[in-house]
Amino acid sequence: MTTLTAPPEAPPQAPTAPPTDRQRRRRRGRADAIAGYAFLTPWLLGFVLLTAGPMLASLYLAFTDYNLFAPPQWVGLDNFTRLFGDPDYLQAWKVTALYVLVGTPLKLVAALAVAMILNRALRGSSFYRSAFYLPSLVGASVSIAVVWKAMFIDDGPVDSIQQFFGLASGGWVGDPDRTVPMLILLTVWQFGAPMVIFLAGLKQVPQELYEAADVDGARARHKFFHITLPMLSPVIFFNLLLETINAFQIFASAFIISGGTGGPARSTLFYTLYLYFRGFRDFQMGYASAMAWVLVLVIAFITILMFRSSKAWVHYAGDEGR
Amino acid sequence: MTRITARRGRRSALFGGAIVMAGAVALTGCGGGTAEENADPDAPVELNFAWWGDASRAERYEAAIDIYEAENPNVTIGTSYAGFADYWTSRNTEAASRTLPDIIQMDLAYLNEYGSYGHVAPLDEYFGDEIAVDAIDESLVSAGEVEGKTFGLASSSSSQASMFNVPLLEELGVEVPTETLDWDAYDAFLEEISAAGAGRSPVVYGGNDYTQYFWLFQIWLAQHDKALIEDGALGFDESDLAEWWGRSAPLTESGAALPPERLAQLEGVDALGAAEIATDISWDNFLPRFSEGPATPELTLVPPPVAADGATGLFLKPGVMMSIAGNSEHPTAAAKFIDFIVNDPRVGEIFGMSRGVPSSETAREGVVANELDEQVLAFEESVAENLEGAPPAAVRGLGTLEQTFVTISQDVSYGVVTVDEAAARWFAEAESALGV
Repeated sequence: MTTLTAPPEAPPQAPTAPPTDRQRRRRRGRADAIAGYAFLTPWLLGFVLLTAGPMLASLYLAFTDYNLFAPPQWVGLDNFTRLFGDPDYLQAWKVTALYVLVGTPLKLVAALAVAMILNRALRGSSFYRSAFYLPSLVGASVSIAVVWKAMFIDDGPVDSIQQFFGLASGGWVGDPDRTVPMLILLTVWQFGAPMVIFLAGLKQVPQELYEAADVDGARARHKFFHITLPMLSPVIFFNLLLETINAFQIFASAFIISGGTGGPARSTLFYTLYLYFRGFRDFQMGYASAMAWVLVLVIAFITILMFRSSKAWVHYAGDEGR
Repeated sequence: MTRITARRGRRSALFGGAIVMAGAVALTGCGGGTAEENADPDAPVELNFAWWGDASRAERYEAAIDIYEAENPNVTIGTSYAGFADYWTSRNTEAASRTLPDIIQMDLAYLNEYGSYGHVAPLDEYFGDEIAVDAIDESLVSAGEVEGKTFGLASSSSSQASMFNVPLLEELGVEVPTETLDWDAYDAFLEEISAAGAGRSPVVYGGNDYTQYFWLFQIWLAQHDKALIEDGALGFDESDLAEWWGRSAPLTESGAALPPERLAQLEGVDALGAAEIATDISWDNFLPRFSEGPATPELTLVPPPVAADGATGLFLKPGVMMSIAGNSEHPTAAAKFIDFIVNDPRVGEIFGMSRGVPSSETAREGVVANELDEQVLAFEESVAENLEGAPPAAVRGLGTLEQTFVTISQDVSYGVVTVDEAAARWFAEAESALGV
């Protein structure tokens, strides 16, 4: 289970030469290193040219006024100070924060709940596992966003259900108060990936713990809170981190459902969507780069916070001695 | 594992940065290619031409290019096309690296950005020689000007028009006005339609909340002797915009206009084409598009509302423009091709009205007009004779002005901001975009 969160370890070095011949060993080690870097070259090239280089460039551009057509002009911290007076920027944070804070926990709860049901030895459980996993495979695609939108329009399936139960009728797509909930439902529905990981975690909880608890007369609730959750905490931590970072980057579904506008009435103006508008609609590449860097810093900060807090609540089996 | 994910996150957030980087490197590395003309007119020339549009437009351009290549055997023309948004993303990147195709379709909204930084070449030196402009309305030619030079030539034009679904109005028992209404009478007319259409399924509304239409606002300004853009700055003030957007709330509250919640759901379908509204105001050359909507409405073009004193404020907006890339190695050959695409009657015949009303009279002569085309042609000719306004000058950031206008007017329509707040917000955005 710990292998899920720990970085993959390097395979143990095979003994290469008799320890007496140090010279040969060193030469052999160097050859190994060269071979290693040679194999890494494609990745290193990709990283330097496609990730690190552009990141450095965008860091520079964040301090400039750049519209793609004329050379960038240094403006110091102007882009960053402008961010805080920009009502749309604050709106983008509001919408994104709502999505992350509500959507991510709901998704994890749904994933855990379904994983626990599937963890029981049911007939056809492998079928259900695939069936529940499916949405997260297709979920990021354009077509699903289109289908999702169609479900929430006037007289669409969701509206029909509402009308059947006598709830307020009308589609969600056009209502600024219900577009984010609609997108949260979309992400919750895609709980398959964390579910599969939860399932793997549940399988590894030692059965004797439950048996011992049964002997002590523990109820299901107690077993869940005192055995399942603590034993699962590394997996929960992993899923929480992953899903939070993913949630900050919502783009495609919001772009499609709002018809590429961030509307209605800016209710789906997510951070990345606004960044895209500023960069590619308004040609304010400097401003967009500044936005991107603030997002990087915020996500980095949240990640650090999570790692710090994890010491208090994440329980690694075999950690007790340390 | 988590480290990998975090990095992936940054990469995606900085995807824009990657493109910018590519542009920046290219801009500094290989900028400033000079145009070199080949002296021999029969030497083989290879031109590249890019446009935005759908498959049917591509077929039409290919057909026109076939004619051109047959008549000019030394010229071969490579083509590429995409949808409007993707088209501009590609062109912007190419502009940054100075690798634009020789001939590009241009839009008024981006003309300044491309012209003032030399990404497209001035056309003035070709006018009268390679490119004939005498058959094109003067206001359309000058619409392509940026800082005194012409960077784009309009191949078509369009004008704002009201469209009435007359059979539907008659069915509803609403009297179709015979004279052009002023704004208040128009609002009352919309309300009357909505009242009559409330019982139908689907409910019929009078029209859309027209205060969202950027170009209609330009007409309204012209009716008040103002203009969107004057001397490179905004030609009106916040109170004008607040007054214009002030017309929105009564329209929504009285039920005269289609509710914004409904409008947001219509995608790929026009409310007018689906007969959810009985009138709308739009570009006259959209008439065929609306007429081919799911309800196949029979539409009549009439002038948009006028001021109380009868001023129309009407203007011709340059449609699809043609520009030559600043980095083109064969600008003269490109100019000749532009002349063909804009003026030739055979091209007029191939395209009909699909790019808008052909700007050139010679191209218009080639159009084999159907009934709808006839209506559009007749309407636009009547407008051309009574021009009261001019299209806005191609200022830097014009595209942003329109985009933010549409976004903020949606807030107004939903009533989530006051009109004064909305106007102040648009002015802040506009002034930052214009750099004034």
